[in-house]
Amino acid sequence: MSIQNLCDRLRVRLKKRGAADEYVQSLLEELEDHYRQSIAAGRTEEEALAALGDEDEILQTTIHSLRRDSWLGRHRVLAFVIAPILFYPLAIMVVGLPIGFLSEGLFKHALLPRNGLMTHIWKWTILGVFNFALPICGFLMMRALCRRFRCGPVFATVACGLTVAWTLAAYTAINLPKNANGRVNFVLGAGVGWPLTAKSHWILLCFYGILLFPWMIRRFRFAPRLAILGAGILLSAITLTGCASDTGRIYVARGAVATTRPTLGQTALMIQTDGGGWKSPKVSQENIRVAVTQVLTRVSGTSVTDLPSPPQTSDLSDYELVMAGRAAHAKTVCYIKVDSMGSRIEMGVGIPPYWAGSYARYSIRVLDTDSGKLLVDAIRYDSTFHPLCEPPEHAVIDMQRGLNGVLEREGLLPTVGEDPRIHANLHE
Amino acid sequence: MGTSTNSSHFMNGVPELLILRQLAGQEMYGYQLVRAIQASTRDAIRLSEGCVYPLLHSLQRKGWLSSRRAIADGRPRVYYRLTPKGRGRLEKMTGQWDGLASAIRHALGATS
Repeated sequence: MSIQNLCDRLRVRLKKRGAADEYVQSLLEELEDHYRQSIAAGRTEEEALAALGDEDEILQTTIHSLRRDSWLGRHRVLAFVIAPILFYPLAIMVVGLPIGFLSEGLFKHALLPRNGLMTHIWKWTILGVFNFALPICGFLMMRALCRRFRCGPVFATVACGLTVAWTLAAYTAINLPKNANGRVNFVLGAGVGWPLTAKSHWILLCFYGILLFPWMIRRFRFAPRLAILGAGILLSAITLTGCASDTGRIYVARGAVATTRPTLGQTALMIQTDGGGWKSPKVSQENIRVAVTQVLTRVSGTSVTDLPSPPQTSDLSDYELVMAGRAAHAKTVCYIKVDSMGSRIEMGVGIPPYWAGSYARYSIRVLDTDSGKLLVDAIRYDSTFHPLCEPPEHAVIDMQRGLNGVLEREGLLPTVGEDPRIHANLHE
Repeated sequence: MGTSTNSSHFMNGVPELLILRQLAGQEMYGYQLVRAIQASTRDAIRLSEGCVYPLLHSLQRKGWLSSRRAIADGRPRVYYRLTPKGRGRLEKMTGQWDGLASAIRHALGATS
C-alpha cells in the first residue's frame, strides 16, 4: 500500500464515521508530511508506512479521540437515544408553554368571539410556527450534533428518526383530530393518517422522506437498496397505522328503510350570534342564515321562514321557541345559537396544504310547535384545515357540513351510502 | 525493547504526558515530536507515529496545546506548543505520575 492509498482509504472511512472534511484534510496533510520526513531521514517507503501505523489503528484512535473530547460523544446512548425522546416535552415546557402563556396574556381577548379573528391569527401564528418548526428544528439539531460529535451512522439515524417521529407522534397525540376513532393508530401513525383527508397527508410523509433519505444515502453512503427498503418499511408502517384510521363517521342507512321520512314543514328559523370573527354581526347573521336555510330546505317538504334574531342573552327556552314558532304559524321552529366562528392561521405539522383552519361552535334545537316535541338537539364543533388563510366565511361551510350530519343522524336527510333507489322512492 | 502504545495497559495517559513534556521546552511539529519522545525515552517508548496526530488534535481541543501553520519545503506544516493551561495540566500529571511511580516502586520493593 502506498501513502496515497492509505490517505484515500482513511479519508473515506473517517468521513463515513462523521469526521468533518476540513479536519480529515488537515490530519492527512500531517500524515503525508510525516511520511515524507521519514523517507528523507533514510527510511524505506515500507518502513515509513509501517512506522505510521496500521490504518485501522489510526482510524480508531482518531474517532475515539474525537468522541472522548465531548460529553455527548462519551454518552452517546443518553445523547442520541434518550435525549430525542425528551426533546418534545422539554421543548414544549421551555419554549411552547411560555409562548402559549405569553400569547394568552398579550391577546387575552383571543378567546372572546367578538375580537376573534385578528387575535386568533396572532396567537395561533406564534404557536403554529413553533409547532411547524419543532420537528424540523429537532431533526436539524440532531443532525448537526451527530456530525459535530461524530456519533456514527447508527446513532445519527436513531437520533434523527426518534426526534422527528416522536415529535410528530406527540403532536398528533396532543392534537388528536376530532372524530378520530383510533387514538393508538394516530400516535403510531405520526399524524399522517389524518382522518378527513388521509390521501393529502402523504405530502407530509413525502416531505420528511425527501428530507431524510437522500441525506442518509449521501451522508452514510447507504446502499440504494437499503434506502429503498427503509423507505418502504416507513411507508408501510405509516399506512398500516395512521392511514388505517377512518373518519370516525360511520355512515349507516339509518331510517332509510322507512317508507316515510320525518319532515319539518314550515320552519321558523331563529339564529343567535354575536358575529365574532366577522366584520359586522349583520354580515355574520346573513351568511349563517343563508347557509342554514340551504341545509334545512334539503329536508323533504320543508320551507323556511325567518324570525328576528333574539337579543344577546342566555339561550332561549323550549317554551319561548314554541311560542315564537306558533306566532309565526310554523309547524316547527329551528333555533341555532353560534358560540364562536372564524378562521385562524394554524401551521401545525400539516406542512402545506394545511396552514390555516376554520371553525364553528354552535348548538341547534328543532321543536315541533304543535306538540312541543324536541326533534333535533345537538351541540357541535366543526373545524377544517385549509391550504391558506381562509376568510371566516369558510367556517359557515364547516357549519353546513356539521348541520347536514346532524340532520342525517336524525333521519331527516338521506345519509351517504344509502341505496339510491330507496332515496328516489322516499322523494316520490 | 520498545513499548508500543497499544501493547501495554500501563500506557494509559503516558503518550499525553510525554507530548506535553516535550512541548514544554519548545514548539515542535509531529515528526520532530515523535523523534524527541523516542530520544528522551531512549527508544523505550515507541508511539505509533500516525496515532500521534489525533492525540495532538485532542490535546489542542482541550486547550492544552496551540498550533500554528507554517510553510516548510513548500508544504504546510503544523507546529504545536504548550499553552498556560497545558502547562498547568503537565504539572498536575507529572505530580500524579511521580506519586504513582513512587508508590509502585515502594510496593515492588516491599514484596521483593
